[in-house]
Amino acid sequence: MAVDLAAPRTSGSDHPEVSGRGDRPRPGGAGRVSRAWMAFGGAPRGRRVSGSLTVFVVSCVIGTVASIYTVRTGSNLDYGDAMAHLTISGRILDSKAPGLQQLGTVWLPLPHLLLLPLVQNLFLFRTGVAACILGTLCLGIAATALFRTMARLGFGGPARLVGLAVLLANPSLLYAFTTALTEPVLIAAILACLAGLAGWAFSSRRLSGGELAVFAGIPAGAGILTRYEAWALVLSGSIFVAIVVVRRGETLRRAVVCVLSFAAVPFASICWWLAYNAAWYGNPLEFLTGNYSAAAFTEVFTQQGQLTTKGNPGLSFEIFGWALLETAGLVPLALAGVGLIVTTARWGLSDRALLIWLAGTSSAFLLFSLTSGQHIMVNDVSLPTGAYNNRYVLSAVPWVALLVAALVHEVRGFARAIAMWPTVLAVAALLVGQNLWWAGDPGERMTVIEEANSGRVAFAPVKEMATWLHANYDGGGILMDESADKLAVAPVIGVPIGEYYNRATGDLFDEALADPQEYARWVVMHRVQVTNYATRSALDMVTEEMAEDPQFATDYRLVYAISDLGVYRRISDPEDPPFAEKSGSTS
Amino acid sequence: MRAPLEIGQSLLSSGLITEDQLEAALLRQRTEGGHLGHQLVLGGAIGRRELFDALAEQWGAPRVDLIAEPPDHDLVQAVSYPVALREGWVPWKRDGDQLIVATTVAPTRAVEERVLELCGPAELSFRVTTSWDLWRAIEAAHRSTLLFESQDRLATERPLSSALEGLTRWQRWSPVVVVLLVLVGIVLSPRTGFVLVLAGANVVFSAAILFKTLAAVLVPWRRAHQSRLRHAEVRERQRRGLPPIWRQRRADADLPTYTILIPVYNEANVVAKVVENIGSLDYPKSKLDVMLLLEADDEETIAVARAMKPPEYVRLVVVPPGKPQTKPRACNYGLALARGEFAVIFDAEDRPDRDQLRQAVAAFDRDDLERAEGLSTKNPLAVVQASLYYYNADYNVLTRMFAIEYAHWFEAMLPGMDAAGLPLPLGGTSNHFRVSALQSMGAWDPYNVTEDADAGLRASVQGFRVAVIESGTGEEACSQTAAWIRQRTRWIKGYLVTSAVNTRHPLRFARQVGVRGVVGMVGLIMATPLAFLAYPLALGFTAATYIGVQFIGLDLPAWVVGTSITTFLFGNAMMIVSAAIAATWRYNWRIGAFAIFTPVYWLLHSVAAWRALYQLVRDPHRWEKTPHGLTEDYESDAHV
Repeated sequence: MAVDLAAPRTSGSDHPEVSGRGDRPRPGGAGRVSRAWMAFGGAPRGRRVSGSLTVFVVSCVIGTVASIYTVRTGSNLDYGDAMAHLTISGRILDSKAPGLQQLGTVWLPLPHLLLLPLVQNLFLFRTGVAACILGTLCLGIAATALFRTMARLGFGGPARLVGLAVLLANPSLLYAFTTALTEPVLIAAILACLAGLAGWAFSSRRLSGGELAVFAGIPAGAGILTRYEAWALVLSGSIFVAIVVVRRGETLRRAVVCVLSFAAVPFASICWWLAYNAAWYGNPLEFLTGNYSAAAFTEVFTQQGQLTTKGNPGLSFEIFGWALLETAGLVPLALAGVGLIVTTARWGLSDRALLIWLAGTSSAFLLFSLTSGQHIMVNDVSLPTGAYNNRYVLSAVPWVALLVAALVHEVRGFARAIAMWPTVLAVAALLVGQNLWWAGDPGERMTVIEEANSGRVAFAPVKEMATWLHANYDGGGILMDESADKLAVAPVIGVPIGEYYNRATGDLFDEALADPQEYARWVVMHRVQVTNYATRSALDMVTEEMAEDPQFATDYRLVYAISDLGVYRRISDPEDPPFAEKSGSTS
Repeated sequence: MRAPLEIGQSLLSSGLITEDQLEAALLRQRTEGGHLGHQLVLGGAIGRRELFDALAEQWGAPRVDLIAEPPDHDLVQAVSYPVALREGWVPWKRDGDQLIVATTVAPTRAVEERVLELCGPAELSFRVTTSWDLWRAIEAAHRSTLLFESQDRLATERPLSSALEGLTRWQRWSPVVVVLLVLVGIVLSPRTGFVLVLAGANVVFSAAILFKTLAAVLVPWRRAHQSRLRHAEVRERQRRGLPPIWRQRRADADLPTYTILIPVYNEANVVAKVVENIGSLDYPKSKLDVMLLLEADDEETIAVARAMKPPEYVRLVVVPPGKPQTKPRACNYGLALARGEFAVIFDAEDRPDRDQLRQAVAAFDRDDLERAEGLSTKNPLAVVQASLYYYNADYNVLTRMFAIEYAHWFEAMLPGMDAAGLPLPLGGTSNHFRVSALQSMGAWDPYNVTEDADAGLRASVQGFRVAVIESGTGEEACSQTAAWIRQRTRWIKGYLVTSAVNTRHPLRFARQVGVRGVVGMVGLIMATPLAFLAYPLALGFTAATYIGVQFIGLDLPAWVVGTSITTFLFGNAMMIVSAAIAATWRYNWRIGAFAIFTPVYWLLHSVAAWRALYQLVRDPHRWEKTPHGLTEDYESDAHV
């Protein structure tokens, strides 16, 4: 596509790089710390934003510390989805039916593809450290992107520091970045996209569509293949690009070229996803309409009358707001609210203001999803109450961070008499207070942690079974419907995924169900069929089949049972020593 | 006639120069050599006309304006233009039995004898003319000869080396036959036909990638080998009691005249930078022979060039209209008027390293020394190529990719090919020729749109050697996609034409250049455009297979699928890695990181390649000019 060039842009108040906003370096720097601080708050120079590497390294250190904590406590595997994501990634290569089709259609593929090289190591897979590594890198990317965005917006050092603190001092967010949930990749992609858009929009030189495609389009494309919130971001980002171009006084053609440049990679990503669905499932919209789609998922809730947000914007907003309150925190949220008012009053709908509004795209999308019935969220203000899917609001934390940073920036600009450090210390004190309040009862006061705790409790028996199986597995294959309710515990079982006959193995699973004696030494299933399920796909197909197979009881012996789960071993295989002696568990 | 110093005294006593100006000119003359008068003009002490007025008075010969009163046409033909330019005079008019000669040199007895030798017996009379008037008069008088030299000589005297005739019959028909056979094969057996097509595409793609990568891999070996040679030389020189390191840096006075050819067309916006860029060269200005080559129909650029009042050592040469109107034709025209022992081509916006000319001279001197001492069995050195880099490398994504490509080419591939003894295709600028060798090769082919690549290969065919020097020239990378595609179309078309020219008689070519020459021709000149033509097929197949579909309903053998994907992915990975390393070394990691987009960049090459194929059939000599000055004064610091 043509890349048009125009004369270099003139400066303007909407373009802080040119206008030189941001902290001025003090003449005659007073040592390394002082120079580092000046660099931290300095204006960008072309592509260079001083301090980026420092922010990245510090963020990764923070992520590493958080990971060490959650891995040691095992809480990084509390979410069932986290274990499922690890397993999906692992079975792309380590499976009896390896291949890209293992990505499935439930979730978008990028997080699994990124985990792919890491989960090849059984230790990293089993402990979830693979996700910690990815999450830590994503945290580094997210924080660096946020920092660079704030620099492009012209924020000084204190504002940038506060913005980073809002992001990095959020326990819910830090926890999520130690898990295999999709939030780390999504938030990193969103922030990287925003940083790219900011770099393009506020550059002193008129940058090309190609640079927009690389620095904003690629992260947007990554987001497209991570979560559907990013699809909305591409739309809002395209509108932003068009507005910026038109405001510059350029032609409509130029606006179209820039929008197309930005949207090219995301569009290619969407095309690839549609092609993938068409190739493997015969339906390009399988992800929307198939058995494992969000629509199928919410259908059960609808049938049970639990999708109360559908058609109810007020309730949707209330539930969303409560989740945001318990995730982002009252203090940051309050400061962000004030920041929103201040920036709206002072910036109006300028390009800088619009960029900050862009960060709220995911929140708008979430509200829309709740209201349209595409998504369900359960917390203390929903009907019924509970803790489910609240982690989705984590994608709003960057928006909160930007608004708080904007507030600090505007307050300092408004009242020059206010010294820098008291401002920062005041905000820091508030954030510390927020965290101390959370720490008082994290399971009740942080909905993301509350949901993790729920998961830990709900999965406790399954994990106990999985741990037992990990200790006693002696090869020979495992027949298990891993897609059934609460059986996505392959990481805890901790054997190579290639040992499983499960739904992901396609025809092999059917063959194993028909003749388990021929295929698997071990069978893991619900002893009683699942009745409390989120979708019909959560039914245990092994239970379904074995209940109809009279031969099963003669071929297999129950060697471990807990709750409604059972582990069976093929009778014809010698046990050395017999399991009754080893485990002491009941049959 | 009075002694040269007296011209200085004469001008001083006339009040035309000051003592300081005279002293400065004398100092330059002592260090650089040459005529005092010329140094005075270069230094701006006096104008050219004033100098020759003074010389006319000193020589006792009136001055004549050869532009207002050009030489007699028939008379001037008696002396060929190279002789006239070299001798510094032309027969001007006859006045009865008297032959009047217009001269820029002192009319000594030796000059008189030379005139009589060339023009026949006559009573001689002299007039003084300026050096500018002389060469312009010669150029005007011998224009038809110069035009023949520039556009027809190679095609006339060496038709097999010229691209004028285009493709031979078998070259035109063999691709058609191949395509027809493939189509028939696909119709008869789609599976087999497609397997063959895919296999062919993979072979071509692999050949191109392997050549490029292996050439780049040789660079460390080359450096190690050169280091070992240097150490061995130091030890030997010490053993012989010589200074350990050979440094052939000629004194300024011993430096040869150097011709710099700068072809410009529709570049009114950049031509003004020529003086600044060339003026920064560390080379005695009195030894420079710079020619700004302008096309007659480019009135705007001519006007700007005249208005900038270039210094004495820069000549404005307006190339007369002719066909084909190409850069090599203009360069040939300028070469015919060149005064230098060496010649180099630069573009108007080029910024060569300050000591590039000296490095080139040193390289040629080194070659002469080694051959004289029997230390080298290599072919005589005819050309040295400096590396090119972009001073606007990070202007946008396209310039970054261009910078990466050039870094890989000039920092990795060319040195690697040099180490392997392969013929080197030259770059468009900064190629330094020994003028005598260039003229014996037939100079540039005006009908080849990549005259540089052709010249490099022709040098090898004719028993010369091309080498690289470690000096660079900053250029402006094309920053607009449409303009880039046009430029790349021309380059790829030129490679196709060069392939065709050199393989008209494949066996003869192989005998002339040997195995290495054949490897270079096949691996680079032929494989590069073919790889770009085949690239969409390879990419499309890989993308489709990656999705996991059965391509066109064909159940392809697993080995085909696996080989194709592996070749494509591995090949691209190798290119990305080697290009990233070269670009990071040349610029920085911010540029090198963009090497990952090489597969996308190659799609643009494919567009250009198919365009080139079309033009090869319909308009093989069409020259699509690359615009310059697009990025105005933008300069990145990546190349620093």
